[in-house]
Amino acid sequence: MNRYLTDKLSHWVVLLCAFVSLLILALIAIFTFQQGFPAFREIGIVQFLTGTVWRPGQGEFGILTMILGSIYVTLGALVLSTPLGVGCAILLAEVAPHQVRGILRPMVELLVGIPSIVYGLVGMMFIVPLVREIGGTGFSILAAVIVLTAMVLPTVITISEDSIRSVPQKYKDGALSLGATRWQTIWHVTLPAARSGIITAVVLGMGRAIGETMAMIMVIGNAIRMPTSPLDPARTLTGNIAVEIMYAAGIHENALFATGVVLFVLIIALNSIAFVTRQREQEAE
Amino acid sequence: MSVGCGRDSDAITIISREEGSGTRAYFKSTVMGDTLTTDGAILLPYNGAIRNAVAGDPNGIGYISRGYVDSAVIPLAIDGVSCTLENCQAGKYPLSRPLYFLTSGEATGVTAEFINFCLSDAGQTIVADEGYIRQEGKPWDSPQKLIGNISERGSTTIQPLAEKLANRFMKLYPEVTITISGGGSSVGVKSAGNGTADIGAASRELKSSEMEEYPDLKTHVMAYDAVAIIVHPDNPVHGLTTGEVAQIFGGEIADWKELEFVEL
Repeated sequence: MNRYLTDKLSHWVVLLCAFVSLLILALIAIFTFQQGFPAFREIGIVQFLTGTVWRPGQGEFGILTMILGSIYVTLGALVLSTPLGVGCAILLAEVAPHQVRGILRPMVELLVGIPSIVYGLVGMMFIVPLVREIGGTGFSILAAVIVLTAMVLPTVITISEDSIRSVPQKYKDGALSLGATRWQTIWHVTLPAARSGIITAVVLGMGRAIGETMAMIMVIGNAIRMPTSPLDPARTLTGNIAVEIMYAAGIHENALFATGVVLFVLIIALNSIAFVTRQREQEAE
Repeated sequence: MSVGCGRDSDAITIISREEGSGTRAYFKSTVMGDTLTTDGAILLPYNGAIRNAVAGDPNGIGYISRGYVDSAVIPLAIDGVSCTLENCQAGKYPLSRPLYFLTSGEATGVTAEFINFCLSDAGQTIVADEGYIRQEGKPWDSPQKLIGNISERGSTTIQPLAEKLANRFMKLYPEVTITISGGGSSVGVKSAGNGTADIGAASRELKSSEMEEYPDLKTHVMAYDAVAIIVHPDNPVHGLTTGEVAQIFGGEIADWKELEFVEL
């Protein structure tokens, strides 16, 4: 009887936990949509999404430049951090001797804990002047991509390493015994087997990239103009909210919440794409 | 002339504050007029961030509160008047503006005493020491003992000055605690208006919409501040007219080479 009770009780406790976290998510979504909705109604969804002029003082609200800004920096960081991160994960999981891994892995994990404002500061003082040497003002998409890559790498590395590590030893033994070299084994057997884990790593990295705010504000320049080159400044959706919410009132505030809604939808879309890809991968296996 | 370090281009890097900032509002009304800031301008949300960005960019130009100027940047002479404390104090420098403390209704108790202290000769001496522009000190009968908490929130231009004033006041009255926070002038108006802070700080005048929303707000001019137009120390340009500054920030003058100036 007693055991039965604790069993029942723990069942309900766990259920409650799940319910509370769902409730929080739902409340955030409802509140954001509710606050953003008046902006969609007054400005018009099409005008809001495709407008390239953002002048709250003059009542002009168009966020296309920022949607592109967010997408560019996220894709840029993805393109740089995926090969770097997976390469590093292979080193940690397959190549590096035990002692080296014992030092490298904690160092990579430590990188996750550095607050984003510190990344922003380092980016502003070192990366921005470096990019300026190439051209432009230095405050640019390129500088943002470099900083974001550094921020996303630890996530990509640690999760990729875990998934490479979890590939059963017998797969690799099989390949090696058939005469494959170590590199052939990694490329043709281990990596494909770890693919869904690596995709998860990249998706989580992408989530961090698109949501990053503070470090972006400090290096991307926050200019509201259509970026035409990686050396141009841009503004991200998150940066737009963070820079202006302090001052915003009325329709301006609604427009910033609407920016949040767009971000919300964008993240859901990215995650769904990744989810479907991963599902297909797993079915293919 | 070559301003850039190892670069051929002298394209001006325009660094401005974000929309909503009190400093930007003042800059717009006094310098820009109807000219819109070019959409190619870099926008940074703090006085300090703009100073650091200009300090790092040989072709940069920005505007910040004079209180934030240090040796890493050069404040330009405007309309032939250099941005020295004497010129600002004498009212010759064209870009100076009042800084406000805001209270909901007349300040009372310990809050009133703190404001009176800031307006007194002792308070205004700190104002001048910090690089802001002082006013004639008002007489203040300092009470023997004060107990209480004061919160001040708003303009980042006022923030460092308010911290210095608060520290001195807390030294005089150890049983008083004053917390100072930033957020910007609009936050200052809101906080004082809705009572979330005892004192709001604003580096601009109240908008008519704000006066309608918070009709009880009382303003106290606590100091004057000059807005410095700053450039990199390597920049040979040391002075501009208000019109040239507006042309630069409006995007009409895009290269330092377009400016005529006397080479030093």
